[in-house]
Amino acid sequence: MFGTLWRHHAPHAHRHPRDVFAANAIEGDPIEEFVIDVHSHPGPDSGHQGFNHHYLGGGVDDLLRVMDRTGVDVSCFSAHTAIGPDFVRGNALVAGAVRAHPARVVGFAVPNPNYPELAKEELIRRVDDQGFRGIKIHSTNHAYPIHGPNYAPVFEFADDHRLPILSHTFDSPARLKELAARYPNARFIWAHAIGAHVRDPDLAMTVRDLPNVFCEMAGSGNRRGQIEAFVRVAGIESAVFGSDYPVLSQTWQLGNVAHADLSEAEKRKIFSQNIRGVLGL
Amino acid sequence: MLDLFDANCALGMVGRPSPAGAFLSAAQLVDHQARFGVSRGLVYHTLALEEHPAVGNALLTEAIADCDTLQPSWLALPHHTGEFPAPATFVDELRSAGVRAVRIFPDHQRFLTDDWVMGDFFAALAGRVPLFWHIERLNAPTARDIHRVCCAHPTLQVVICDVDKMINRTMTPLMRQLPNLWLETGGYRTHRGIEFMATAVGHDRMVFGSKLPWQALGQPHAELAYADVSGAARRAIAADNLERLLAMAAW
Ligand SMILES: [Zn+2]
Repeated sequence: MFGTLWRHHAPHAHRHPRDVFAANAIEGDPIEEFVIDVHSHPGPDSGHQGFNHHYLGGGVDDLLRVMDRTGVDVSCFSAHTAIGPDFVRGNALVAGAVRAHPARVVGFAVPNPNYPELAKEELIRRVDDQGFRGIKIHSTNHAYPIHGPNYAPVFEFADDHRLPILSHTFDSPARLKELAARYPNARFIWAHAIGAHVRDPDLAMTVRDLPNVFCEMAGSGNRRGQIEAFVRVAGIESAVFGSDYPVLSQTWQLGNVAHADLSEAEKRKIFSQNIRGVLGL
Repeated sequence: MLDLFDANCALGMVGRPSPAGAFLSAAQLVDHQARFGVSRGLVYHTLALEEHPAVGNALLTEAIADCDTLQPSWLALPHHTGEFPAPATFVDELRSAGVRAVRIFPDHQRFLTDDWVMGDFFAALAGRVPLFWHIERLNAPTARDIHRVCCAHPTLQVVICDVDKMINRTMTPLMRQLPNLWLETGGYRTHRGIEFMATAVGHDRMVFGSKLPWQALGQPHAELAYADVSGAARRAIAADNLERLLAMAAW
C-alpha cells in the first residue's frame, strides 16, 4: 500500500541541515563548542576495571581521554568510591585531579551523611581549601533520606557558598520545591531527571518556576523525543548535560543531546550556557 | 558519515510510544533513519511483537512491499499450540517470501527456549536463517539459555538483541565460547563497551541496531561513531557484519 504512494531512493539528509553539535557527533568528531559534563564519577587509574559491572578504564586519565574524543571541555568530578564506600578517599582522588587539570576538572565534594562530623570537615577542606566548586550527594547509595537531619548542614553549606548540589534524586517535585525555596542560594541539579520525570511528570512543571534548579539529561536509553518533551515543559534554561561516566557512557549521552530535535541555540544552553556561570567558568 | 545497516528497528503503531511517536509507514522510518546515515534496515512490524506474529508478519510484507531499503524480519512462536506453523512449514514460508531473518522475544511472548519447546524450530533454522533473539535482561536463566541453545545448535547463527549495559562479565565468555553468537549494539551502552568487545571477542561479532521507534537513535549512533576502534572495525559493525550474516541465509 505504501509503495504506490512513495518510493525511497536516497537519504534525504539535506532536509535536515545539521547544527554544529549534530554535525560533529554524526562524524564522531570532538564537539567544537564549549561543553560541560556536570556529572562524572571517575575512579583511580589503577589498572583494575569496573565495580559492580565491568568496563574499560574508568579512571581520571581515562575520562580525560574520553573528553578529548568527545570534545567535552570540562567535567564535574565526584569520585566513584566517594558515592560508595569511602567518601574521604574519593574526595582526595578528585582533589588530585583538580590540582593536575584545573582547566578541565571541576571538583564536586561528596559528604556521606552517615559520618556527619567528617562530612562537615570534608566540605570545608575540599571547598574552602582545595577549590572544589560543587557538592554531590547520593542518598540512595548512602541509604540516608534527603530530608534527614544530617543533610541539612550540607544544604546550608551549599547555600552559604552558593554551590551547586548534584543528586540522583531530591525525592519528589514537592521536596525539591521546598529545598529550593529554603536554600535559595544553592543550585540543585537533579541527575537523570528524564527518568524521574517519566515516573512523575510533575517534575518538569515544578522545575519551570524554580530558577535555582537544573535537570541533567543522562539516562539509561532515553526514549526518542524525551529530552525535547521535557524541555518544552520545564523550559530550556533548566536543562544541563551530564553523563554519569563511567556508570553510563559519555559518548552515548552526548549523542542523545547532540542529535536532539532542538535548535543549535537550545543545545548550546544545555551543553554549557545554563550552568557555566554556576560553576564559575 | 558512517553508512549504517540497522539490525533492530520496527515500524507500525505501538501501545506505549516514546514522545516522538512511532513510524506509521515505511517512508517515515526510512526518512528518520536517513538523517543518521542509516541506509538500510532489517525491520519487523510492531504488531508482530505487541499483538501476534501472524498479524504483524503479514502487515510487514504489505508495508515494505515497494521499499528498497528495508528488509523484512519475521517474529516466530512455538508451534505446539496451533497458533503458529510447524518449523518446516515456517521455513518454507520464509523461503517463498524471501525473508532472511527471524526474531524471537521469548520473555515478552512467554515461551521457553528449551529444546522440548523450541528444539525443532532451532534445528529448522540452523544453517539457513539467522536468529535475532531479543532479551529483556541478560540474567542467569537467559544467559544459560543462550549458552545451551548455541551449544546444541552450533550451525544456528544467533544475534542477541536489546542487551543492557552491565553485561561484559557474562557476555564476554559467552561470545568467546560460542562462535555462532553475535551482539546487537542498540542497547549496549557500557562505557567503552564496543571497544572492549572488539578487542576481547572481535569486531566481526557485533551488528549495529537502533531500537527504533522507542529509543533515540543519536545514542547508539554516537556510541559507535565515537568508539575507539579502527575505521574498518567501525564499518564492519555499522553494516558489513549484518550484510554478511544475511548473505549466509540459504535463499
Ligand atoms: Zn552520580
